[in-house]
Amino acid sequence: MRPGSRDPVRLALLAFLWLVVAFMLAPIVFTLVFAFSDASYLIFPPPGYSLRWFAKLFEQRALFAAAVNSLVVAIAATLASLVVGTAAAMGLVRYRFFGRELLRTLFLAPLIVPRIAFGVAMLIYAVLLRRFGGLDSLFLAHLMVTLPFAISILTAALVSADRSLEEAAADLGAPPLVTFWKVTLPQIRTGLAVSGFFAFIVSWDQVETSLFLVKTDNMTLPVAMFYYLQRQQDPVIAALSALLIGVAVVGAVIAVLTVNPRDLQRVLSAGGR
Amino acid sequence: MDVDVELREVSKHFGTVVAVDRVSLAIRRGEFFSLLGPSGCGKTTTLRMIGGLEFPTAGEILLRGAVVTDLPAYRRATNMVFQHLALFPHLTVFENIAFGLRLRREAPDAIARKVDQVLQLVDLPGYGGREIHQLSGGQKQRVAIARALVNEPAVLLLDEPLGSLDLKLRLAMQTELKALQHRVGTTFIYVTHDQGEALTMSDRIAVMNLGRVEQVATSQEIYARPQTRFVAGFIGEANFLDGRVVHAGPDGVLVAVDGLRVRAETAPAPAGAAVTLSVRPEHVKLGAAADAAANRWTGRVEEVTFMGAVVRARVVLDGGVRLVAELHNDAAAGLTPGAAVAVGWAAGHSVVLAG
Amino acid sequence: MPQIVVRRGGWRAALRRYAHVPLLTPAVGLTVAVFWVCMAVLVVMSVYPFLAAGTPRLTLAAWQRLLGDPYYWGVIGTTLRLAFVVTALALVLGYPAAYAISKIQRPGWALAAYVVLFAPILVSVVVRTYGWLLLLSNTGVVNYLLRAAGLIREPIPLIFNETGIVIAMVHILLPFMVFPILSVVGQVGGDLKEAAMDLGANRWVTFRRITLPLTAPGVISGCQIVFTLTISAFVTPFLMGGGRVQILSGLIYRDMEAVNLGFASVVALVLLALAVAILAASNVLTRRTYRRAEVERA
Repeated sequence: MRPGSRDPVRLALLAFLWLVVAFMLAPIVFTLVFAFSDASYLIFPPPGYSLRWFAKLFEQRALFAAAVNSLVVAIAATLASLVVGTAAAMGLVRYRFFGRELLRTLFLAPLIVPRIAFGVAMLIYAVLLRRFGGLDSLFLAHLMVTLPFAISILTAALVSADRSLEEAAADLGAPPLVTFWKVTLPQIRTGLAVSGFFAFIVSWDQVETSLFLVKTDNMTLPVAMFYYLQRQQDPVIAALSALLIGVAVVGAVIAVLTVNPRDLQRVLSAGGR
Repeated sequence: MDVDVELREVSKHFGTVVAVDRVSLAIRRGEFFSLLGPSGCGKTTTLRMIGGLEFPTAGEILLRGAVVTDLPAYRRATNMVFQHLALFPHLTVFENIAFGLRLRREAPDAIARKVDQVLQLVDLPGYGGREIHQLSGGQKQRVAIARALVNEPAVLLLDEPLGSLDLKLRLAMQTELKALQHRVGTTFIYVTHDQGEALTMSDRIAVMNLGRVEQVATSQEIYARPQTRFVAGFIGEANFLDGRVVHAGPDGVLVAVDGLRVRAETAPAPAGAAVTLSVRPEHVKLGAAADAAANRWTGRVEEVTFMGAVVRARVVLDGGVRLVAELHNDAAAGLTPGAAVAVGWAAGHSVVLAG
Repeated sequence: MPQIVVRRGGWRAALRRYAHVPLLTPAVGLTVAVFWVCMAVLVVMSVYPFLAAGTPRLTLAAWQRLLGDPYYWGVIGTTLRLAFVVTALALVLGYPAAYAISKIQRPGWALAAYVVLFAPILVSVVVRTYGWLLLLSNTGVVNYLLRAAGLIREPIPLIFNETGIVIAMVHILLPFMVFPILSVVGQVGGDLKEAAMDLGANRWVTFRRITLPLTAPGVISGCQIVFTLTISAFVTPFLMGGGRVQILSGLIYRDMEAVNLGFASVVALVLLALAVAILAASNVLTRRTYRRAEVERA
């Protein structure tokens, strides 16, 4: 047994890790390569480099409208998840009542249902209620998927919050709402950030749940890309993908820089999945 | 004398657990009043009910004559210093202290002036800009007190505030707190399990056990005249002698204990009643010092322990009764295990306990 | 002494006792009205196709169609088979990767590993699947490299078949395998391993008899998540399969396009049943291994 950095098993493991890293990054990196390719079909290596596909991308008004829809729904679903989720988490954590554990399970149940099954169910439901084809049905469908994440993460955050601080605020004259705003919220801000982040990503990237609820009016970006890919595979999608990857990278950088890693670890490990 | 806080038959049940059992107290304005007892005796729950952080299952709580039983904490004229301080970590010292003032929408210059004043009071001048994590344990303690006091509450509640400090700091803070209370004049209600702390600082003490108040009296009286066996054992040390009243008269009581006849001071115990006597070790005299005692017997020294300024001796009387005596080390000369010795104490030093 | 009655208290006490109700109502209301009712409607639709053409009546026709046709059993089989393969590969890749990450000493490199492994989740599934189409197509990167290296002469078909699906799914779901394993792998204390070695176990035996059993709960959790997500996945298998590989989610899509919602509901419910069965199985497995893991740790 040879400890230290010369250990062959350790070296093998690290080499393996590098391979896995390459595997994880490959499609993303090469999408970027193709985005700047000059060819009008997908060939490697690219015959030349140009930005023409980005230019063509910006002419696609339908894709742009879809992006706006996705953004609106994602923001709405995130805000709703945070507000409703925080309230529900407060109710679950701060009070004891009959059926509390059952309610907790009930809130997490939507996570088990396969998204495509839920999607088709929502389609039937929406048609039944004559609400098919609007942003509202999309919003509600996404909310059902993001809310359980928010509740799960926020209950973990609240459990680890210091209750004596809330008592101190009350003792100093703060009515319950003020206490919540000035003392509880600052304590769970990492949980709120992580929930909001997850909720946004999940809603923004939702395909299976949106797939059955869209028509041309309320198209979302991932579904629009999906349809585009079925019809043609020109590098316009690569250009769009490159843009989205760029946004994701910026998002990751911001997340890494702003979040306190110890807080994050606590919230993530307590939040379960 | 004004009564600031009154509790009338206050009880608190948590499910089937009775945490506080029909407690009645009247705390006077300007008093330093302590709730003393072991953990689980209900003292902290009682304090929290006075503060509005818990609500009684039965009984009434009055603050300066007004019924406040159901009033939540943020509407009561009390402020609390919490056991673990509960300082807001995301706010500066100034913002912590100003918290209550801001909620009452006081003018910014009034707030600044009051915060400054209270910082001077707790001997932390100029500390307003500091972050909480930059402070030492004692400094945090003082900020917590300042944050409560700056709101000029009718009553200040303190929940074992010195528990987390080391011994030397704790003793220093006890003196400071007492001086502070004198300066400010606010009624202090102080919870502690440390009898030495309670005796040092309090004007009056309520000794609690298993949710009930066993005795309320001044420090001296609690020490000299404990009313129950629990109080006698919890405060200081005691020798307990169980016996039966033989004769009760205007000049005192005679109690038969294991074949001995012990004189005690007058007590409302009829002849024939079973009573317990309590005698403090420092009142048990040995040798020549026991000559003039009303209670005097012979016995034998069993064990002598040298403890620095005092010496403790365990003696057994000829009838078999065992006692612990505590003497000054210069009075302990000649005490060796096995030596015969006279043992005695004054009649007034046998305290008749209620049970 | 006057007897003071136990008080139920005024409106304030009542408010305190029921404060949790307004807090929980929005979440409960939304979840029931949107999710639960919706799922109930799905169940109803599967036996009483009220949205289909013709007059609706209570019938098990859709169920019989699915469960009575060997073609559809083949589809179920393909779905499960793909899920097994993806899960197994994800485990083979993910466990060593998680182990390697947990052994990284320098926090900067550990953070980088975390980012590389989990940041791809930020990128949409559609984009990443597209990336694999680019990589694995006949004119794509992989075939180019293999030909340039002289290993093959003709391009290997890596897309529009099960191979492509598996590769892309493993990529998409690998983080979900790594995360639960990472959570447990770090908890296997160094002192346990040292005790084993002190008793004569070499590194392989220590791994097999100490580390592996103690990390079993994480492995089970990861497998459960990956398996369930694979059978539920639609976009990636659909795009990578090119219409030549039919799995359950593809049936739902096809039937939705054909407005055959009754049948789609049945398939959806079968998917749900499979997901629940996997969860139940993994719970049972976890409880058995976790108890042993706890005992061994104590």
